[in-house]
Amino acid sequence: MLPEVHGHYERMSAQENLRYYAQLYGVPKSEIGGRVKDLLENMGLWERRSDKVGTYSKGMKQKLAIARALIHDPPVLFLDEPTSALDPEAQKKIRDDILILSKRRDRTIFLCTHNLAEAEMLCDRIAIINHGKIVALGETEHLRNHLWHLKTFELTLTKVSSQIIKAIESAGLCKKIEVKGNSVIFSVSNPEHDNPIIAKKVIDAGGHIVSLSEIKRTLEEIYLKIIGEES
Amino acid sequence: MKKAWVICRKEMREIFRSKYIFSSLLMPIVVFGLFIPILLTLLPIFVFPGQGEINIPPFVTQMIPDYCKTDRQRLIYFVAYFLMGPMLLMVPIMTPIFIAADSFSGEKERKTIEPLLATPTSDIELFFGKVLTAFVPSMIVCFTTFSIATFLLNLSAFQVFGRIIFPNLTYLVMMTATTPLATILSIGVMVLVSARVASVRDASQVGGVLILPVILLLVGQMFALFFINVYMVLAATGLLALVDVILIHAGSSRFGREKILMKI
Repeated sequence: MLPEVHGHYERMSAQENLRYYAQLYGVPKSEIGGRVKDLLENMGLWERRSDKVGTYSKGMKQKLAIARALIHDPPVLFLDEPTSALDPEAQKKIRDDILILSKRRDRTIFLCTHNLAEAEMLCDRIAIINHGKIVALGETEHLRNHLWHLKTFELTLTKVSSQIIKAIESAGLCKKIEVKGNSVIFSVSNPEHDNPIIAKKVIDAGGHIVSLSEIKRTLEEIYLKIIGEES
Repeated sequence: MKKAWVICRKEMREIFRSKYIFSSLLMPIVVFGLFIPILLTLLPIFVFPGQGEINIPPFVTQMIPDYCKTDRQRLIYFVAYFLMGPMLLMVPIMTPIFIAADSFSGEKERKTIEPLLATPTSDIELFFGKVLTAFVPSMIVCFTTFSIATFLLNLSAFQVFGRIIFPNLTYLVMMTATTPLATILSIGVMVLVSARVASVRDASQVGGVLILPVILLLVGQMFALFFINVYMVLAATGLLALVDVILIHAGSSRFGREKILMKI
């Protein structure tokens, strides 16, 4: 478990902190030294192993807290706001470490966070909790599809003309069309079927397509919609 | 109980690294082991250097044994047993108060309590770990203070009596049996309080109440209202042992991490 506040004994060194927790978690004595060394090396703290934790930066303390959470080699990890109050560089390092743990070391990780962009970046499945109850659960894509039946796309052209807009409208597939500079933003319900037809219509009307990409709803939008509906 | 020792060893390491906590442990040795014994033993030598009469009230004299023939002998006996002895009893109660008060509320203040409570350490191991943490250094401080104070008292007494006079059987029982039990009582109460309050300051305030009975004893002795004998000490020791057993049993069974977490 990684609490929101790292909670290290700051008068003790990183090595002493990990050894203490290894003993409390019941790690066999013969394995403690090796595990402490491996974890500190993996977290890039081995060189500072004997320094008092009070002298560490916030990022180093957070890395040490993750090392502590792993000292007993748990299959499941609970991480509470693992990157809060860290600078962007330290945040990225911690996120990379979490991804390595999850993808390469097959750990199940429960990440508790208010940072929705981070949750979207790191999590395979999302649970939204409102007033202590799970109000939505699933993969981000699943939640997105569940909440919005239409998908929004941005079609960028070299030049947008009224003929092209009429051509798109004539397909009768778009629910909403909006022009922004050289881009046409439209929503469709079945992109695999609808988008090739729309693209053909645009080309036939003399348009030159630069790109066609989906504008995905962010987890923040998903969250706000769900919480809005709940309240 | 292996993890209780793990907790105790780690806490001791931290205590010796904190100059503030370490100096708080040295304080009783300096005050009760050195300063007060030197002051009290020098007092009869310098205040009454001659052979003149010393006015010791008859009701005090009645409590002083017959082997104290001269007034100086009676005065040194009075200093040793009526003043210094009860004062030394404050050490086992006072010394562990800060460490025990810091046990859980200190961890709460420093935000180290959550990772500790997340470990598979049982509530009883946590409780005994913290009790031991306060008990071991307190006993070291107590016996060091007693030893130095006893040496200094006897150094002064030897010149007047030609032999050592302190401690007698009563104080020997008190120091070896009553003191550790009183320490356990003080620590047990403080650890339980510390688990239930949010700050070390709140916990320490309760600690002040624990010293009151010893102060009453001290005042009683100083004014010769009563003089403790071996039977009184044995009875008090038995009572303390009983209270300690009840406290530890009730404490360890009612002590729970949920209650600690609720006060974070």
